[in-house]
Amino acid sequence: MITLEAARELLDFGTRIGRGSRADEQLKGAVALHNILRKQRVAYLADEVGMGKTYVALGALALFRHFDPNFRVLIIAPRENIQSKWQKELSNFVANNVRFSDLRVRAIDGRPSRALVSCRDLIELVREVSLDPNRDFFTRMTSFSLMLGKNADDWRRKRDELREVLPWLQDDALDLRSNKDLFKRNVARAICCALPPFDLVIVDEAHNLKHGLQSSSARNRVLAETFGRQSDADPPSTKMFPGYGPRAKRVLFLSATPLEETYRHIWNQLDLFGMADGFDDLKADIPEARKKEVAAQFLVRRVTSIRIADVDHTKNMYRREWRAGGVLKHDDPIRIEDERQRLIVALVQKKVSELLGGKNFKRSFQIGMLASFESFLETTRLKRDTEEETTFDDAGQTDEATERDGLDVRDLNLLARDYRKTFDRELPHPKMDALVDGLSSTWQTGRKALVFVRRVASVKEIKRKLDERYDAWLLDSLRTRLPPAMQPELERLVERYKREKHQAADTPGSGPEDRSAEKEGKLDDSGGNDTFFAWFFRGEGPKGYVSGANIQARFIQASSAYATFFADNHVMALLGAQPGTVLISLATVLGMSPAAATEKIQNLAARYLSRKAQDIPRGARMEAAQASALELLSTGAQGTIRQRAEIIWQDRYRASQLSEHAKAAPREIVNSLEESTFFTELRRPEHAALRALIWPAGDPARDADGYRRQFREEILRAQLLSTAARLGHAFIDLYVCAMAGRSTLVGRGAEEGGTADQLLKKYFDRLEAQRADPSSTWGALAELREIATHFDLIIDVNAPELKNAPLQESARLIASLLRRQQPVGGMAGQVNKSLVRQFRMPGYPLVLITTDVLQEGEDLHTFCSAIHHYGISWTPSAMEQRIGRIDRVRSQTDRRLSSLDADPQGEDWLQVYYPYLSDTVEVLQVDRVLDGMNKFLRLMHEELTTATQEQSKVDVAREILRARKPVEKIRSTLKSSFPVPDWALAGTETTLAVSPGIEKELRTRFAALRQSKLGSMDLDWAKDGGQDRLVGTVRLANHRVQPVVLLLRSDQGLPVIRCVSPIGRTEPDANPDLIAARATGIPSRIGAILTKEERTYDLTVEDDVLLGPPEQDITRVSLLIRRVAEHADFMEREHFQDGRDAALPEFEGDLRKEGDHEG
Amino acid sequence: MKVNWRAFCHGKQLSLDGNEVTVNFENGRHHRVCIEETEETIELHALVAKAAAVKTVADLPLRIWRHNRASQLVGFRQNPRGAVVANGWLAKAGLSKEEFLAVVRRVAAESDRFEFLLTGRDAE
Repeated sequence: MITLEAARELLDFGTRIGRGSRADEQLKGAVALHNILRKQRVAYLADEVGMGKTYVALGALALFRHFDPNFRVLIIAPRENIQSKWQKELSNFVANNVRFSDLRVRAIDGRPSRALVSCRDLIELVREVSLDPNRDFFTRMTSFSLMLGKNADDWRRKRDELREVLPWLQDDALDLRSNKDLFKRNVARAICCALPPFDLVIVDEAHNLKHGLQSSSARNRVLAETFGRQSDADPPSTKMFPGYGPRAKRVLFLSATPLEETYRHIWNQLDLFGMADGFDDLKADIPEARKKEVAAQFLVRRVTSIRIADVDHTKNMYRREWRAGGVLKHDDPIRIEDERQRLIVALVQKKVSELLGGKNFKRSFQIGMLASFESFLETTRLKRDTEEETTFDDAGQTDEATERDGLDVRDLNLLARDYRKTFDRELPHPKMDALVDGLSSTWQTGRKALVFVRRVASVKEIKRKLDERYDAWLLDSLRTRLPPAMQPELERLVERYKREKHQAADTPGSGPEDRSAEKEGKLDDSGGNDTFFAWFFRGEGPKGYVSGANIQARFIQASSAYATFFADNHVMALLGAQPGTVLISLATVLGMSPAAATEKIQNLAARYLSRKAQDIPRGARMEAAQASALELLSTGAQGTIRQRAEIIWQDRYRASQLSEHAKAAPREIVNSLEESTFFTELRRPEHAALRALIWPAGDPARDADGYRRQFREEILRAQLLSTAARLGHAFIDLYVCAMAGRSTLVGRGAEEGGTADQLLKKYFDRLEAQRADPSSTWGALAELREIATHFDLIIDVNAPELKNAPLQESARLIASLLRRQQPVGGMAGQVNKSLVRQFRMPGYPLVLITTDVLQEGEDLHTFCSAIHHYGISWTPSAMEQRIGRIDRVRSQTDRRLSSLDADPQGEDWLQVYYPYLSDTVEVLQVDRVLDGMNKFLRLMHEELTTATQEQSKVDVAREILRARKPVEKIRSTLKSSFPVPDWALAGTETTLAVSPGIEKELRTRFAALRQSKLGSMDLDWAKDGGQDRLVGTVRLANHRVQPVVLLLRSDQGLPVIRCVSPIGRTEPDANPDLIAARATGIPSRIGAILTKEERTYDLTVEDDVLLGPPEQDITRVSLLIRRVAEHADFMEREHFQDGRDAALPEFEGDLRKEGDHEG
Repeated sequence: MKVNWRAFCHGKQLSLDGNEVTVNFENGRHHRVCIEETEETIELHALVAKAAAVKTVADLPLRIWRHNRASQLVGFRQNPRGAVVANGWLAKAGLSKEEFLAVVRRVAAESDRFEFLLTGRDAE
């Protein structure tokens, strides 16, 4: 068992959440889990939502692997989006929280030492573990449902897929004539045979397994069989399933809500992995106190708090719950003032009461599964990506088909149709209208809201209503702010938009949830009709008009007057010059005349200009002028300017050199050096206050590395700022500025309108005006300021890859983050990753309406402090999971409350809304769930209750007769019943397996290989191989050449050099036997890359050698290179038989990507 | 260059017979690895599956080559008779017991696992 001090030498939890008590708690958690798992083989981390359970679990994993490099792990995430999140988090954790490259957890390049493998289903898991089991595997809980399809062909396909990996599987083992349940179990048993034993299985959101083998779904049984949890009653045949047996040596369960109302739930979860032995008291009929003692042997729960004005507030204290049902005024119910609406509600209640009173429903209903609680509109079942039709999300709550569809749907549909026919309008729904009223000011405040519904169709209905409100606000704003002369044209456009929107509504498949572009990975924005913003400001916009879309395009079209509006003049900034003085300053620094400097720039600039371009567009001129001037400064200037010019050129402009470049550049290209842009203006002293808000300068850099970091951050900030300014809510202000002074909306060519300088002035006036008036409604400055203030957080949660991405690619990555913005987003069925990322940023979407698809896993806390349970969930744990999306470490609420000096006001708290109509039976289900939430809190934080079993049904007859007594909120400070036990922190292992010095030592040894002659070998290393790879050419004794790459890796904690040499492009799957026959003669290994991607080679020879004593490096590595190069050359000659002898340049691009953990 | 690799073959779950090291695993399975010396290297060979045992396995060469891209310190190929064999090697220069055993165990473990996946048996 490890000590806290030893763990601290390896792990640093403070890099992202800041050093202090939270980081200490995470480290303690990691050590405790490690030690509990060592002792008990099972641990349950039940920290409150949002405390970073993932990171604590990854910390425990890191500790295991540091001491046992062969430690094998499988992670089960609830669903696809969380599966990829785990992968990202593991990479982030290793890069940021593991202090040094120990070759066990962190490889020498800072990435995880083991490749990460994501498996979309269990068959893929089997394939991947059979390829190489020594990697980290990520699966989804949904995969264990083993969707088989409906007919025998589907079953046969599944059997054939398994047989590809396990060719010895007998027909009897997977008998196509057996029943579905048995067939699934046997598939799971076969999968178990193929799996290696895992030292640790991590189950995220493990409460989903709480019903264990008692569950009616096949998923849990399949999972149990997959992990070899042998059933005594029905053991599998050892002949048919050789090697079947336990596959999880240890299991770590993660969930903030590990149980509902009984400890049996925990036992059930353990039992699925065969880990319940010794914990049977959890399901026994004994006092709850004893059960708590048993659970406390392996279960840890910590509670978090926010310190506000020197007082700690636990979650229940800083959440402001709207339990009275209203959404406009706290503790007020929704009031129905309109008589007609009251009548409608009464009528619907009568219908529902009659239905519930019928003999089919026994006066009870499933919580959250009455359609009338959410809408009085017609409900049609919606087809999801799984081809499954559904009315409610998480319909698995009940097995009854009528309940799954919503038992009031049929009658409500009849009523809705009749009402529309009679009154020519839709049935109003007071609760939906109240919600929409409450949310329709978000575009003026910028305050985000997350809305959960149960009925799938409610997503579209609420979104449509909010879109209408948004349109009203936007059009009103444009009518006020665009010049009067444009108003008639604007009104005509509005009419056209309404017409097109109406037509689109009648066209099937044109809904707002079209995700085809995202699925295809396209950046294109086709606009849309859901809002005037989508129609006018995005996509192509209405043709022939200077629409928002038209202006927006001008910022990225190289030939437009606005092409360089958001560029930066780095030369001007570096020289501290002003427009009109840059060339003179440059010449002075270089010690030459302006004419000579012009000539030199002209000569260099050609390499940055395309040979094909007839005219050189404005954007290209600016790019070439900057690149060539910086290149010149990096060689001709002195001191700091030279050093910094070199950094800027290398990191930003070197990749702008074109292979097919122009022969000459025009002399006028130097004029671009004098150009003002948005960022040169921001640097001016008169805008210092504005700059501090939206593009803050870093502290002065002390050395070259510091400047490189500073420059990189400055560029990334500029890219994020400018992209936000031209794509979302902030763009409306920019558009209005661009239109000021024009007389018509009709387009007259790309250059029509004002100059970039005029727009700069107007835009700065606008931003400065907003700065001077903080009370103004939410506009460009507010959004850009939020982005600047929380830049690190935004990058961390949305695009950590940006930190290391080349600066040429970062602009594209940022644009992909912010494309296709919509003020109100809707989600059902599957997670729309783009929408989720945008919700984690300031700006659109301001409202996100979702079914339970976002209930778990996705973090939405960074800029949202309000959650609406519009459609209520049936378990308290589900409600807690939902709130947990916005109640997390580093949340907006956390930041706001922590910075308060005085007592918070109502709006300062985290807002939790439970909208309902108090005069309807809906009140019964709300009370039931609120009561359950209180019970859950007592169970986990105070003494245990002997509560009744959870019930997803509400008995109307019984409960309506009880006088309603509002369910009071628990207000006292929470204290966990399951703190970290003292013994779990009292380890004896005080030293790490390897010391931090190993990283530097290996880098030095690897770098020395470049300088060495490597014995008698004749080889040339290319430049810029990087810190952990060398690319070069070996000249063989037969006078032929062979390109090679050397990669510095590790294996089982030992340093390893891998050598890869390409044979060429061979299409190995076309004629594998021929290649195999030729390869029999060589002991090195043949590697095939079976991918559809364009590659310069798909067949390799590769091998590894262990690095031992440093003095033997040269001998060992030269042996490795020789055998690989000679064998690769042999295969090249044998395979192609045309005398070819491909050299390094042919393969260099792909060789440099070797080792990026691809297959 | 001389290395007394036999002296390294003492350890948990290892047994030496001539030039063959047998590695026994926790799950009761085992695998044999044959050791050969050259002037500068120690070459390790293991039989994974005989030709007859894999003659019906579809796309075997492709499977082996993909496997080779992923694995470290051990590689697979088919020998001229069609059997699947595993290879590993070590440089003699500065060779330690820890290194020797790491590679022997890796070759044995990977060969054994591949044998099981291909044949469902434990013959080698």
